[in-house]
Amino acid sequence: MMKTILLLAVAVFVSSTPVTTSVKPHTDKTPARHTDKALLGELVDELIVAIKDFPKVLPKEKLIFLKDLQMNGLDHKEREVLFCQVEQELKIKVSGLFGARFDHFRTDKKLMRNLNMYNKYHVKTCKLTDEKQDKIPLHDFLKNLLASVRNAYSQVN
Amino acid sequence: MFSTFKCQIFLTLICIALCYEPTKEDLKCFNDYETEMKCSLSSERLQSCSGHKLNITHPVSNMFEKYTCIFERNHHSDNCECNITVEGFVATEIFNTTLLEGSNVLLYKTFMTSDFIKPKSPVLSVQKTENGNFNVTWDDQYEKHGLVAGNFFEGLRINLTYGIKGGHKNISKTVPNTVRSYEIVAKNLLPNTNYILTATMSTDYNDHSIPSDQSATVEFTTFLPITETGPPLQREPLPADRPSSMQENLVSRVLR
Repeated sequence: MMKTILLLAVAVFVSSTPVTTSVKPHTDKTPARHTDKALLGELVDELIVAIKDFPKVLPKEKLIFLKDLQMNGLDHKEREVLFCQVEQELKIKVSGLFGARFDHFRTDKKLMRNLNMYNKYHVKTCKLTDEKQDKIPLHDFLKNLLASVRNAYSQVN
Repeated sequence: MFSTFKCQIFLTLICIALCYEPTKEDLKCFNDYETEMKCSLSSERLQSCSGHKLNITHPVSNMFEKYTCIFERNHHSDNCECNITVEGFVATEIFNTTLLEGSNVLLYKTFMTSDFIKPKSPVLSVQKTENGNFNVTWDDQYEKHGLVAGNFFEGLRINLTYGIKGGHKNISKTVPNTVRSYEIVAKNLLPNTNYILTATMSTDYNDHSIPSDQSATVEFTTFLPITETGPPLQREPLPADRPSSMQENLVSRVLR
C-alpha cells in the first residue's frame, strides 16, 4: 500500500513540472566542421553581394575608410583573431551608417550574423588594433576579407 | 488530511489519463533556410489546437528576436500547425521555444538552425529529347538574391524516384542540385508504359537528415516503336533495370 502511494506521489511530482528538452543543445564548444563550412560559405556569399554595392570608383565624399588589417599570409589562429577584429571594425564604422546601401552590414543581417556566430565559436573577444593604423576604402577592405574567408573555407571544405 | 491526499492522487490519475501532456517528440519544427519556420504539434490526446501557442526567442547578434506562433488545425494532416517568418537564417543560430496552453507552460525545446532545415519541395519538369530520352529538370524554389549559386544551394541534393505507374519497383537517383538536370534513358524503360516521377531535396547542412516533402508527381509515357513496313513491333517487355543491347528507336511522349 505504502509503495503504491509513494509511486503515485512521484507521479504527482513529475506530472507537475514542464518538460525541458533540447534538440542538439547549444554549447560554446567548437562546432563540427560542417557548421564552420556553412558559416564561412555563407560569409563568402554575403561578401560577394556586399562588394557589388561598393564599387571601387566612388566620389571621395562617399568613401568609407577602415583599418588596413593584415588579412593574408595568416595561420589559422591569426585568422580567427582577424575575423574578430573585422567584426568589431565593421560594427563600429559601417553597421550604424545611414543609407540603404549599408543595410547589408546591419547587425541583424546575414553577413554580420554569420561573422558573429563564427566568432562565437572561435574568438569572442579580441584586442583592437591601433586607430592610427593605415586606412583603406571599404571596397578594398571587403575584397581582402573575401580572399581571407575563401582561404579559410578551402581549409575546412 | 489523508482523504485530501487521496483526492489529490485521484485527480492526478484522472489528469494523467485525460490531460494533454506533450513530449518532445510531439513538437516538431522545420525551417526552409529562407524565411519560414513551421511547427507542428501532434498527439492523439490533443483535443483542440485553440489556446496552444509557441513563444519563440531567437538570439541575433546581441539582441533577441521574439515571435508568437499560434497553432491552428491543419485539416489534411490533423495536426496543430503554426508558422513564423524570419529575416533569414544562419546555420548555428538557436531558436528557444516555449509551448503554452493559455498561460500554462507545457514544454521547452531548443532548436539549432542547421539541425532542423527541411528544404522546399522541388518542382519537376520532364521533356523528351531528340534521341527519345527524358530530360528531367527542376526548380528548387529558392530565390538566389543575385547569386548564381550560393553555399546553401550548392549543398542541396535532389533524390529522384521513378517507376511504372501502379507498379511496385522504383528506381532512385540522387544528384547534386547544381547539375540542374538528369536524363532518363528510354531504352532502359519498358515500351508503351506510363511512368511516374517524384523527388525530394535535402541539404548537407544537416548531413541530408531531413528530406523535403515529396514533389508533385510528373507522368511520362513510352511508346512502342513504329516501323515503316507494318504495324508496331510486338516484343516481350524488357525489365526496366536491364539495359537493352538492341538499338531501339522508341517514340516517346510526355504527359504532364
